[in-house]
Amino acid sequence: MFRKVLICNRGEIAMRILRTCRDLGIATVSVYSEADRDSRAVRLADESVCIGPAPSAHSYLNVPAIMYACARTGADAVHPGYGFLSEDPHFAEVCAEAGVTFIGPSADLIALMGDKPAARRAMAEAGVPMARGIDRPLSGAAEAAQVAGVTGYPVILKAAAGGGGRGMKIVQSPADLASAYAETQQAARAAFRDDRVYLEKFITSARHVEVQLLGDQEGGIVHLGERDCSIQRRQQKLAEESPSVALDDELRDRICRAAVAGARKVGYHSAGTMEFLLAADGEFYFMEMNTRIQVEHPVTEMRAGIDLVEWMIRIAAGERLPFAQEDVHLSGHAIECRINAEDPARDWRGSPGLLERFVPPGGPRVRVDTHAFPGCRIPPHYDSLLAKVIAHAPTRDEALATMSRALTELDCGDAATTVSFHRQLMTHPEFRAGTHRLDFVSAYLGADGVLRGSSPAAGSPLAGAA
Amino acid sequence: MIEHPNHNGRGPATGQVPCGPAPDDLPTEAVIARVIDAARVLAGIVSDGHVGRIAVSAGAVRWEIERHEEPFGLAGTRAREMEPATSAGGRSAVDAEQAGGGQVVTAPLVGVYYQAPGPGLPPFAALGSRVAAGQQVAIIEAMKTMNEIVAPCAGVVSHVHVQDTEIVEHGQPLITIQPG
Repeated sequence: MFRKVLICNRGEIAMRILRTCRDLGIATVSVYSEADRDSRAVRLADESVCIGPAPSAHSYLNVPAIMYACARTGADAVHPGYGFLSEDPHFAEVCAEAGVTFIGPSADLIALMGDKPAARRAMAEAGVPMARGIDRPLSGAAEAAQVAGVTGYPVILKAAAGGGGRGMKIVQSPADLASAYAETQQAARAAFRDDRVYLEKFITSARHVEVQLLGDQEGGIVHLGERDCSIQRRQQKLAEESPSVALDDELRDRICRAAVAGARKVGYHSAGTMEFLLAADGEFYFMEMNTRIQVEHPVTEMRAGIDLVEWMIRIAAGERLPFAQEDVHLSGHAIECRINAEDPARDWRGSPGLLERFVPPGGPRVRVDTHAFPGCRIPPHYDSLLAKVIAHAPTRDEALATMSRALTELDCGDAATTVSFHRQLMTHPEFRAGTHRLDFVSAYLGADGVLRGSSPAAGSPLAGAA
Repeated sequence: MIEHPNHNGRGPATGQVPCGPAPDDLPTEAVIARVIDAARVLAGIVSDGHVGRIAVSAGAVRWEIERHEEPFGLAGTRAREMEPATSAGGRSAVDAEQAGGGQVVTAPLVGVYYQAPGPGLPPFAALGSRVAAGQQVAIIEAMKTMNEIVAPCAGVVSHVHVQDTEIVEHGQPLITIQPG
């Protein structure tokens, strides 16, 4: 087992990793940028190293600085969290060369799944259902038009080096394809420094269903059920739940088995998530695989009674999974709401600054993952995730009730957050019925932050007042 | 006279700014207008990133213009992205702060601190030695790139906070110089 883990991330996931390391008796190192000098993980870690100024490129993405921090502190493993370097095969290689264990899958697996068309190819070979499209980057706009014609519109153009909902463009008709292709290339070049593009059939009115996988380094792989993440705004998840009410047992079994088969085929180990699109007709299609811990992992942990960060660490340290698929028991229903420091009434603009007031919810059936505290500063340089509120109860209706209750307790004072959106969401009849699809938010959310169809008073500032 | 105690640039900044005549009592409107014009010029120098703080005296009139690193407003306002003050390789920027009367020279990046140009050679800035503004006082090596760390002001080295070949973190104090 590792003596000392260096956490090369920030915010709530740094706290998450730190907590499990503490529970396992592993010493912790927090690396941080100037903007995070006063953050909770830095204060609580056994050691901390400032690795650069606020901009990510000079801090959380600064591989040399992180490696120097490993050398300075004698860390024997690093946990990359999500985002930043968590899916950077170069970083995983550098760690391996330096003799520091990267807590995650191998660099080869990261590279394979990070190359989205290559991942499609590998999963297709494993028999994972796939939407029509191309399994390699397009050679140009002309080929894009030809493949799109065969695939059938609407199609979605995607950056080969993208993922996580970024660098994608839906094309409804052939007339729009050439300009959409150029835009996608340009965006990909800017965001990923890789302008390769591929395309797939766009599944209209789909749901996003993903499967949590956990594999050891000796070929043992299990799934820990699925999560439904269909509440998204501009391809960014806002709320997630498990199980998905769109699946019956038979379909759930098929999707989870397909995910395990795909992971087993490539020899996957560590935690990972396979994402699917579920069409209205009940067909499901591979979208991508994420080779990291995901933001919404608590929803699975609550149902499975398993600490995913702990198992990532144990697996990286060479331990075998002591449980097989038949030992995995998922109980109840869990929902997570992402509370971001963004203002839904002002185009979801980030609202950095001083968080004067922060009172998180608590009590039975509630879990809060956060790094926030009263008086903390929300820097403008990073994502706006402030806290994750998770409710877990025997049934979905009870989980909704618990979440509604928890959201009334959450008090962020005058700071602009997305809590008003979630309060409204919990009252919306379509969400309550579980019939929502990926177009839910774009269909109902107004620019004023009002979720049409939800209870009128739900989102108001007074809805949470004691 | 222009002072720039927070030196974030590549060499001492020079520049002439017109100052008004020294008023005997309350400044006239003309003087105020020229002072405001001069302030605009100075604010421009500060905001372009090379200088963090400027203090200007003109007779009885003195003001100080300082750039804030992280503009935090009310929740709902967007703070602007700050450019990094350092460049990898070559002469590196140094963040100088007032600390107990001395200027503390801090590490602008993570890497290995070297006190001398080479092993066994005399240190750049030994304790008690006198340094000139802009004189090299250390090397921080990162990935085989030797970053020169320079003194922000002339003075005497009153403290050395780090050991030769120590891995330093961003912002770590290296030496303190008593200006003069």
